[in-house]
Amino acid sequence: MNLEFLSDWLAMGGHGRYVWGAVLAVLLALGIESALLTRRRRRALRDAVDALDAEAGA
Amino acid sequence: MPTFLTRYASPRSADPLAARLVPWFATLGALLLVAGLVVGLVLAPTDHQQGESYRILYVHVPAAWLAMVCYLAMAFWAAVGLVLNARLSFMMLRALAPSAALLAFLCLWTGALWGKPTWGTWWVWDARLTAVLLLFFLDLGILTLQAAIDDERRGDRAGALLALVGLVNLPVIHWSVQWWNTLHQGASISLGKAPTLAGPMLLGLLLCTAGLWLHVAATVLRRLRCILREREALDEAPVTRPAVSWRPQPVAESAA
Repeated sequence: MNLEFLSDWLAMGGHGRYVWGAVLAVLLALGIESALLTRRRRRALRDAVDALDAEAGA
Repeated sequence: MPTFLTRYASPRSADPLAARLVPWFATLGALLLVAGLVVGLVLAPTDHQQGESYRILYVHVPAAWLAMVCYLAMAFWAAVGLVLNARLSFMMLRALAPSAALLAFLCLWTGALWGKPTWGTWWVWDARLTAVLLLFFLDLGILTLQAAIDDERRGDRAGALLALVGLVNLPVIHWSVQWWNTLHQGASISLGKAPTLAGPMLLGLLLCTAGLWLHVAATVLRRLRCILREREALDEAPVTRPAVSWRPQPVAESAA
């Protein structure tokens, strides 16, 4: 890929910080939301297994 | 009532269904979103009026549409929950609320980033922008109500009531650009009218919207499964024992 083309594309006609700020904010937010959900699911599963183990032990 | 509705109204039936749908929605959503961003950011032509800054449209418009769709879905589940007193409906409301709030925030954030190069300001107290800000506050209010009330059933009902009251804001958002003289532009795509966007622009927008839609559906279903686990753990035995445990397993004793 031509470096000049890449640089022009990233600059977005002088509006690069606005365009990339918007795109990266959305992708980052979706990624963080997914990561938090994964952590929450693991915690919920761990609690469920603990509850089963406690039940089995009682 | 149709059998398929009653079958999946039970949390025990909804959990396996959600588990089956999530990988499909997540994978397809990611693929469509990437394809939409490639079309929108690389292949679509430059706008003759706004130049390159119009490309914010590919994340702003899907976020705005989905923020409204999520709120509409919240109001639907709130009404079903209040009328039928169905637990799963309130769980759906809880699963939707964080995504709705995030999408409304992203709509405002990307809108501000689009407003600066286009209007020369990050924010203006325009009817459309103010109504979307109100939508964001409504989402936060529902989340806060649900979290603040210790009794989950009461928290569910309070959140559902607020979701229904806030429904009046959706037509205001949609028609604000027609009812008032606003700085915000009118709709580029609407039912019954030919779109004003060029072909590749429209394709990128539709791909991004479909991708984000599927991603949000997967996220909401994943959150629903978490809520099901958390609530089932509180009420009774878990829905199903997880197939895989991440805790260290005891080493099996040797035969000797």
